[in-house]
Amino acid sequence: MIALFGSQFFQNAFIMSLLLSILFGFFSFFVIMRKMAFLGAGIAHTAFGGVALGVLMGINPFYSSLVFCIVAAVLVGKLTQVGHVSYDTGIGIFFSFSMALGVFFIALKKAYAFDLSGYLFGNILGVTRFDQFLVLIVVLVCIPVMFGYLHKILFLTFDEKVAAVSGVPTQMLDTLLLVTLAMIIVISIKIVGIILVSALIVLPASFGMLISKDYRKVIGSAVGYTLVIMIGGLVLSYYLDLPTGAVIVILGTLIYFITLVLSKLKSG
Amino acid sequence: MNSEIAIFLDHVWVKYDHRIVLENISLKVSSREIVSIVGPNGGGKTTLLNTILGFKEPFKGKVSVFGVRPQDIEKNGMIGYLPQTSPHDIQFPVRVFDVVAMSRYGRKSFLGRLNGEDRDLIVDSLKKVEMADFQSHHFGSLSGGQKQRVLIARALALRPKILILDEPSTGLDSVAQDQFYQILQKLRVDEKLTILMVSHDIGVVSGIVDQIACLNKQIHFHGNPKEGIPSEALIEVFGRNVQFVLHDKNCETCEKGL
Ligand SMILES: Nc1ncnc2c1ncn2[C@@H]1O[C@H](COP(=O)(O)OP(=O)(O)O)[C@@H](O)[C@H]1O
Ligand SMILES: [Mg+2]
Repeated sequence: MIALFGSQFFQNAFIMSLLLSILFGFFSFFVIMRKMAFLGAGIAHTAFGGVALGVLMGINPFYSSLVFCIVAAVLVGKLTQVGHVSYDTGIGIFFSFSMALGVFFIALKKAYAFDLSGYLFGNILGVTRFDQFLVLIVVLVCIPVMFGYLHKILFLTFDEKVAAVSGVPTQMLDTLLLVTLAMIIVISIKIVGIILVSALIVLPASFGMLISKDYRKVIGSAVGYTLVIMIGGLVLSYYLDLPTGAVIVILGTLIYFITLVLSKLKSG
Repeated sequence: MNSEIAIFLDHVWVKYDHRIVLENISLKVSSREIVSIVGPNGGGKTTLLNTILGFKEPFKGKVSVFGVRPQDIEKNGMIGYLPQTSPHDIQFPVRVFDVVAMSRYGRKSFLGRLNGEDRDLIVDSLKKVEMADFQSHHFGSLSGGQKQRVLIARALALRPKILILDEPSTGLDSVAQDQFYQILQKLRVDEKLTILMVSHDIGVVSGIVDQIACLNKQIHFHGNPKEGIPSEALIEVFGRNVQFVLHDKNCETCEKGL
């Protein structure tokens, strides 16, 4: 264990997981309540196009995927407002377009040996000091935002039209939610990968909903759950020598189903 | 009586895409009046409310609420609103108190928290709709009538001047409906509220409102229902099934298509 914590890459990944858990626990709740679970998967897949573009142009794929995802998130929001399309349809369009662009860019860069599986399934060995620094910045921006707007976002999620009439800046908050979600997804791709990150969007609040009917406790338990599965997954994957993202998702799913069964037994 | 004008629509036309939905609507609602808009499904009732609330802009004509343009009313919370279909997920993890508290949070600044005054106002609003005993109940576990009353309490917690209600009694049984309308009448007096309510139940509504406006794209009748509504206007608005609308309080055919 000492050796584990002594290693630099593990420390980086540990701190990153810790910070990310808080964000995922919180945002998961709003994504689930607004029935936008597919959005998480969509944004993550959109990142693929950005990653490939970064590789093609020789810039840090983090920046290019961040730009891709934020632009996609905002455009999806606009498309649903203006074009009378549902979130699902809007996301479906962007998601496949961006994946196609990704494949296209990679094909252009013929000679490059590119760690595709690292981006698809995560690779904590690839977590750098710089990544950690980025996460810290995102967390420092997002946490005050989420606590400052918690109740307004709750109102917006519960009843958008009434919230608008009651003084909640609904469009601004909508965009803010989408942009922060995009940021969180992009920074966590290093750890869990594009394919698996959507689990971290869906599972925490689903777990929280099994625990309580009070949003404060739902969010609190979602954060606790994410902490347990991310840190647990990290440590387990180190000892079992397995891909971290996969271990986190399997652990999370198991805990979810065990809790589901227990809560059904308890309620008779 | 105070004759200040609460809601004023001056020759308003509204369309969706290229289809005109509201045609030359003029309506004046005085302060502290209770007014009902009745009409068939698809007649444009919700659209009219959306226009007053600033969600939909007319392409011709003017709308004002206490002299303010609808686009500007959002900021001052003078309208308490109850939408037509409450889209709430019964799983949504909020207690009754939390639902009413939303109104107070909506008006807080960034990081704002509830203070004692907010809490009193929330409990007080719940008392006015006879739901104070349910404060810590899960909102999703309430009956339809109880939910509607909690949502009225949430509107009251804004301290609004106007209540706008879109078919608030749909889906309530007749006991819950009667109770609901009694509470509304009481609120109107105690809270000095102006109430604009959409309904397709002329029979019930006629007994409690000052004015009724029959809407089917145009306003075909506008006046005090106690003085009688001309039957031509009713047929114009509701078609031949008008008898159902008038006499059968729980008429099921009226609900069709909802
Ligand atoms: N967002 C919208 N886009 C296009 N058409 C709409 C929209 N909302 C309502 N309509 C149309 O406007 C007409 C009036 O609808 P509505 O105001 O909801 O009627 P009511 O509330 O009286 O049932 C209907 O024909 C409806 O199809
Ligand atoms: Mg309607």
